[in-house]
Amino acid sequence: MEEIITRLTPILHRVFENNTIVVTPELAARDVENWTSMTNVIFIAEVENEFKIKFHFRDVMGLKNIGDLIKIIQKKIS
Amino acid sequence: MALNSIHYLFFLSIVFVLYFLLPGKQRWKLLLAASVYFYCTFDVKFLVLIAFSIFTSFFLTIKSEESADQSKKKLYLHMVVWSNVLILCVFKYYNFFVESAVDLFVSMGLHISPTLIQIGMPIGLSFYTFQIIGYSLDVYYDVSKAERNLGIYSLYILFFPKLISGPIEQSQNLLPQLHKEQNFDYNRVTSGIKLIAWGVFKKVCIADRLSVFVDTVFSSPESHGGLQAIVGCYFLVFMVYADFSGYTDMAVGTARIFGFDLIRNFNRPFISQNLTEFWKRWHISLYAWFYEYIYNPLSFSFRSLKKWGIVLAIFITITLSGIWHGAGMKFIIYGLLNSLGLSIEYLLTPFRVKMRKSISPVIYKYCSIFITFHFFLFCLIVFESDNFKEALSIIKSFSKINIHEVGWYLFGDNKIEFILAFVFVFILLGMEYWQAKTDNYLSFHLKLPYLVRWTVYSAVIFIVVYFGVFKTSEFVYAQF
Repeated sequence: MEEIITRLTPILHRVFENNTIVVTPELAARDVENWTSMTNVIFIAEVENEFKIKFHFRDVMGLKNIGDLIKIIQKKIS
Repeated sequence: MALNSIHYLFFLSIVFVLYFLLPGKQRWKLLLAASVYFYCTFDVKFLVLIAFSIFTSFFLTIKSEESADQSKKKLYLHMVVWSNVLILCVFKYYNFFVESAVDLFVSMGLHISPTLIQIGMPIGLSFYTFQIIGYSLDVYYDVSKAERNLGIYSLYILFFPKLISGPIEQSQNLLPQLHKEQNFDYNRVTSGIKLIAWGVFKKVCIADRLSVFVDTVFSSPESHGGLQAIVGCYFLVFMVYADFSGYTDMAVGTARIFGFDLIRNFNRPFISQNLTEFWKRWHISLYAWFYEYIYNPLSFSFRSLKKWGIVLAIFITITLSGIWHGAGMKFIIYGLLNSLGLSIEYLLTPFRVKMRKSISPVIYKYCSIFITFHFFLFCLIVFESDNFKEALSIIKSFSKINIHEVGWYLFGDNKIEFILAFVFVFILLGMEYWQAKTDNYLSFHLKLPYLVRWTVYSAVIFIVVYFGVFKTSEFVYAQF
């Protein structure tokens, strides 16, 4: 999990234009100012590029926080 | 049976009395019977069509949920979605497509005479088909469980307060409520009645009064002065708002009497500081539907295109939402204009952030509200005009103000109507402001002494009866 968080952190900082975001499993869209439905799509595309995986729409529609995303990434890369 | 008719008042009173006389578990059956009767008062022949949509979506959605095979799950979902899209296209868009094709052939020198559908459009079609499609998608994506009671499901689709013009209810909101026994609650009933009264006031005192000024401009775009055009166009915004939000208040108020909470369809749209915010405040249930079921999957599919994928998703979604309103080039242009506005707004986000930081917050706020309101006004002029050319000619005529017109408004035969229209628009905006301050904005009088309170009730009834414009006008959104 730690490794995934380390790789997610620069993506979050870049997409949401905020270098102070502290990435934890509990971090959710409501906690980040620029995390809208529009930036979320770009964030998902960046995560796919970083981990060389492909999400299905069903995978991402129920995501509540970074912890949920990490679980899906772990499943995809394992 | 329009919601602002005497017939509806009698119908509602009878259903209300019978509803609370029946044992709790039987009440939903009465509502279902009342909803079927309500639908039949418009056009009984379309009952078969809505029954077909209800039965097929009910059984196919259960099959979709029960199926372990993903491809079968998808097949059942597609059957529900595309059968309803087909019904919508045939009844709402077929004639437009055929007529457009004929025009195209004529321009190429070919003359054809295809058959057009002359049986009219089923009432509430655009609303109930969207509700059915949304429900089947919610079950497919495990957001909701498939409803197993056909009666309750039928009531979910047919529930009469929202049948003609929404709100488009999401399954997670209304279905669980329909399963609960609703007991008589004096506060809920009185609050519902007050909301209905406020809706009637918006419709007959505001919307129908403003429509006189709006119709003058839009029925003869060439023969009016600049001031008339300006007044007509500004009144158009408040007319459509008072009409549709008035209908929604009546629908939500009626549902509340029976113990149900429908979703809020409007939330002070004219204080929006940008178009994205505006579309979260205007016709909320429709744009939430487009956001959930069209924009989200599209923007996800186009994610590799980054911000241009978002722009593409906005264009497709919002143009479709324009076409949802009706078959015609003006609705396509209305959708395209809004898509363009939203896309520019999205692409200019860094610039807007910079602007917000560099100028006074108050100036930024009011400039943003002003721009958002006037962009929507422009789109609505296109929406109301017969075609884009006519919309532009109305806007061009703004510069033709002459002194006689000013005199006509201030001293002519219509001066009382004009003053009343202004007063009622201010009352509308005042109530909106109050609504923002307190949720109980229709309950302010409860603290007043008994005698004063009844004086207020009597005054409201008097205002509606005396100042209401009682003509046989349907709600603007009933035609969609």
